[in-house]
Amino acid sequence: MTTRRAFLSQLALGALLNGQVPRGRAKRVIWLFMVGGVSHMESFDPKPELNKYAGRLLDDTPHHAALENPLLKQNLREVIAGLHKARPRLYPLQTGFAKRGQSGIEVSDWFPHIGSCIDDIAVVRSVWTTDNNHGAQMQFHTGRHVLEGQFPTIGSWVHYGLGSLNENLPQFVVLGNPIDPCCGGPAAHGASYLGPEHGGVQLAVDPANPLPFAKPHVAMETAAQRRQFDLIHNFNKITAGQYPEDAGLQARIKSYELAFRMQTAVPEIMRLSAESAETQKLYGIDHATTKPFGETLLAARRMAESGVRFIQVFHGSDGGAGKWDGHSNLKKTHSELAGQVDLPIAGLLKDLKQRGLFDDTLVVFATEFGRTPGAEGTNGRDHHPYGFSVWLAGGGIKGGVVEGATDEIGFHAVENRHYVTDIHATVLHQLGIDARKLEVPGHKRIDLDYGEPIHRIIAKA
Amino acid sequence: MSVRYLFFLVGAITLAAWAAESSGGKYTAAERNHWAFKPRATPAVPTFSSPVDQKWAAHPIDAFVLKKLRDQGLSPAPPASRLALIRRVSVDLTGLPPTPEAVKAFLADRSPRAYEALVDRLLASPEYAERQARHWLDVVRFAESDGFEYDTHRSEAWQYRDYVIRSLAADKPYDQFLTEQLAGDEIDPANREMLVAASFNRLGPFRKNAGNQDKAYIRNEILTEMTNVVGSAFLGVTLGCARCHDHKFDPIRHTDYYRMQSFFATTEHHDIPLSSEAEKADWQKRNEAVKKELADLRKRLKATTGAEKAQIEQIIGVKEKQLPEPLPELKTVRSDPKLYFPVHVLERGSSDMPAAKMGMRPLGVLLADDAAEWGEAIPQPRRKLAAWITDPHNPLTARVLANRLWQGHFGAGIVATPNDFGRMGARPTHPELLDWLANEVVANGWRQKPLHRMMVLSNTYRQASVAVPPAAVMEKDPRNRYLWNFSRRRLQAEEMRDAMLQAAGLLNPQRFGPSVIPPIEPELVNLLYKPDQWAVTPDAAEHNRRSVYLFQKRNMRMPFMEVFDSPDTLLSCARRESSTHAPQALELLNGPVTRQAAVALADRLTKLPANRRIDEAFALVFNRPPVARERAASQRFLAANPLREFTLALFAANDFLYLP
Repeated sequence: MTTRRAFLSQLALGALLNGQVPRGRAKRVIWLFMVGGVSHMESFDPKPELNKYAGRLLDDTPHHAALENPLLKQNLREVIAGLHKARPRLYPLQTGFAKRGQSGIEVSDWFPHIGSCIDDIAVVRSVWTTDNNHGAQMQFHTGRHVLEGQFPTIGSWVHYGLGSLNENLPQFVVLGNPIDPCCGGPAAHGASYLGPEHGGVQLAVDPANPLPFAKPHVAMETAAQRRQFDLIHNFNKITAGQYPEDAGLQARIKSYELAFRMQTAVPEIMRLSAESAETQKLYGIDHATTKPFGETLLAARRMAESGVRFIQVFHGSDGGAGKWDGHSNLKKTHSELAGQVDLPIAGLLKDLKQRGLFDDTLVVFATEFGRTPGAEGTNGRDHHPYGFSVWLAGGGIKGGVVEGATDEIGFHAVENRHYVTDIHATVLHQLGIDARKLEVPGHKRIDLDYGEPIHRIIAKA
Repeated sequence: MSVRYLFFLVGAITLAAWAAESSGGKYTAAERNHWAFKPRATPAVPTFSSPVDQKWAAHPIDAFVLKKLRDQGLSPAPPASRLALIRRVSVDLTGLPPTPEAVKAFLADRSPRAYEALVDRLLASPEYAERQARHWLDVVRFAESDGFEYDTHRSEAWQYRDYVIRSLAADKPYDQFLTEQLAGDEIDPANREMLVAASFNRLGPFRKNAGNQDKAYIRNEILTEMTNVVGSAFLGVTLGCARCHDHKFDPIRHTDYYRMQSFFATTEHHDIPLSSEAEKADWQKRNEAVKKELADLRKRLKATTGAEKAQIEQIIGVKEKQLPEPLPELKTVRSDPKLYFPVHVLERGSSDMPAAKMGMRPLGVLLADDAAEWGEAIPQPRRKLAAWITDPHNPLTARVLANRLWQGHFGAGIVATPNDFGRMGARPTHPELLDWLANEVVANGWRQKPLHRMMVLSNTYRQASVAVPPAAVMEKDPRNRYLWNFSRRRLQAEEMRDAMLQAAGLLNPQRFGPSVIPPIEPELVNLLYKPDQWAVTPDAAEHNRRSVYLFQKRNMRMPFMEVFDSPDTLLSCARRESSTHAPQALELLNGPVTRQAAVALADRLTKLPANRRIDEAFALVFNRPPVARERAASQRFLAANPLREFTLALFAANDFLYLP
């Protein structure tokens, strides 16, 4: 107990590097994760060639080389061989697209509101992963293929590497339904060997019950509970008085204080009624379609404002692979899901800007993989790990830029390829953390775990 | 490398004479000289000139510890108080704190052998085996469901848990215990107990996939689970790291991995039905009915499109979950040369990239260079592997066991990474002591109780936790690696829950039998793939049995257990974390486990006269009387607040949560 604590405090000091506080452009992260796999071609990487060759077998098009590309095997690490295939018959775009903003970056018609913010966004169109099944959800957060086991997630590294901004709130919060056990479950917001104190604390956007599974079983007045805390505190101080050097005992005293304050602070954060009607509208809380995700993002902003370091927001968890998993009816399901998130996300970006939080809040929009350029069945797309899109905004990221590219049909990431940990490295870099200094003895990290910051999308300070 | 050990192995191979194929494996002196691969020494017990030191170091354990302390310029702490000692040793050995009566009796016993007698009583108690079994169940990643999406329950897995408890209670020699687990079915396929022991080979998570049944892939997954645990649990090496390529840090070659795996080449799953013909027929009927409905739905699905299709998909999803849970069967293994499924080196560990075929052979670094394989389909292969592992000259096995036992009592092992004695693992802090203890393991016929006994009787163990260590000591050894005092430790999740139940008078001491499924928050049950799986045990009295008897489901740990660092059961857990964070505080204050115990304890106290309640509560929860300030604070609190809030505060206090 003392060992870990002692070590952590050493590390925390180490991270402060000779007393220097990490000076990142960003102070906090709002991490939006779409569960199931968003089609990159129908969101942030439109491919008109798909319309041109719609219904044709890849072999009969000038793009047949995609199937001969050695990446087809090299890039892939299947959990179940042959379960998901590169679909050979090209499937046309299911929505239109247009150049948006001054930068003229093309965004599909399913995301017009995010499109209106494109000049603040850096789109990375060349992300790849290796799992073509939904273990890629966890992989996106740990950087490791599901077959290699569980590893600390990006949020837990941020928690581990940075000090607290608010003593009343957990520093790593999870909103929305977490990923299903099929695909990593809590390991997608866990801390693995960093220890559970660095894992994400799941909160519900429900002012009546914001701390799931941790509300008093009997109604207890705050004052009564305060008295109980005081008694525990009294007992603990007597013990701690006997062992003043024991960091573990001190840490527990602190944990009670945080728990007590959380019980007040978290419901306060979730009190969305405190926001003006105008703000609520910005997030789409006035419309049934956008209300749930709008409320989640408004809560996320309130947390960001209050000093939570890492806010991991899931959209589309459904107790299985995820709602974005468009194997069939892609047009219907994707357009509906986009309708749920597009306006609230744009609202979040605009709200952060108007409050002066945009420059030090890094927003990431991600998903576990893209979808196949070819059709699955008559109206869907299959899983596609070879190239897909992620975007970042705020926190010192350049706006209106595109990084990397997939080929003309959106098959392989061909230009400036980025594995998922490059996104992690970029996030950590913006927070002022040197990922290579984050290491725990006995847990060897490999190069893949660190990734490389994507300097081309980072604005000059 | 000891000549003797080499001879032993070479002799075995020559006698076996199954195969002549050379492995082509050579090991450098540096590889062979890694401390853990070298034979155990017979270290001389250090001696001391000062009478004080001589007295303290009367036992060899203490002599080795004191030597290191003196080398570092450190001194041992004074002995712990008898109150601290009885709580410490009771929880350590049995997982339960002493009852107020036991404390009274111990304090009253002024005989110089009082502590020894206490230890002997605890070692002989059935609770000892229940507690020590938990340590082993962590190591072998025991769970009662498959894990992954479906997380199918293994209705008979509890039999293995009972086997472990019975074996430890009887102090079964570890070499025999290990052999039975690895190869019980080969020892006596007609003996149910041996088949249960061999279900050890089935403990890992298992991915069942409804669609694609890639035989080679599944076979590879199964063998991987069986092989890796031999490395982590028995040998303390990260064998699994050599699955895809040569081990990056240790002298374990890619071929070594598959040669070890080869011992399982003739092993297959063996499911022994435990239900009557009538039960089977009934199950068949229910299963067929749902299957037929599913088949019809799938046919319809093919013929439709649009909204109706989505609807049918949804119905199929619901129906699939209505397939009956499998009938009870004992999931064990059997091996038969006729079942031989050749093992190949797999490039990147992938079953679709087989390279050269491999025969059986243990780890090359412990054999002579180019040692031959033992064969491909020999009879009783796992028994032979077990014989090699438990050979007294195997440098790893006894050390690994001694180190686990040490960790159980001192918080950290002599090697801090009990599952990894390799180069990336920790170095032993007391290498001579480790060898001495490992020699004792063998000398005591691989029985564990004598080792526990000597450890907890040592002066090292009986030291106090130093309240205010001098700055110089903290500078030299802040983590107490040299054991200059006793490291207080937080109770583990199960210890905490069991102690609460005992203090509350709720603990149901019933032993053995099918696992108990306790009620749990419905929000959690609804998250399960099949919420019906969580069929709460009807008899509520069973819900208060010791934690080792609670159902261990891979996809859902009880929140109380999870928040206090219970292992995830996917991988071997060598050592529990002991974390501290706010959700633990919330769980203690608001969670059902503490709440239930606090209410019951309050009811228990209510029966006493008011002026005795505080003392009795302290005796039951902290196992000691209150100090004046504590009594005063308690009185003030009780004047304005209900007793149940007071008892809850006791359970949430550090004095309950930590061992002194």
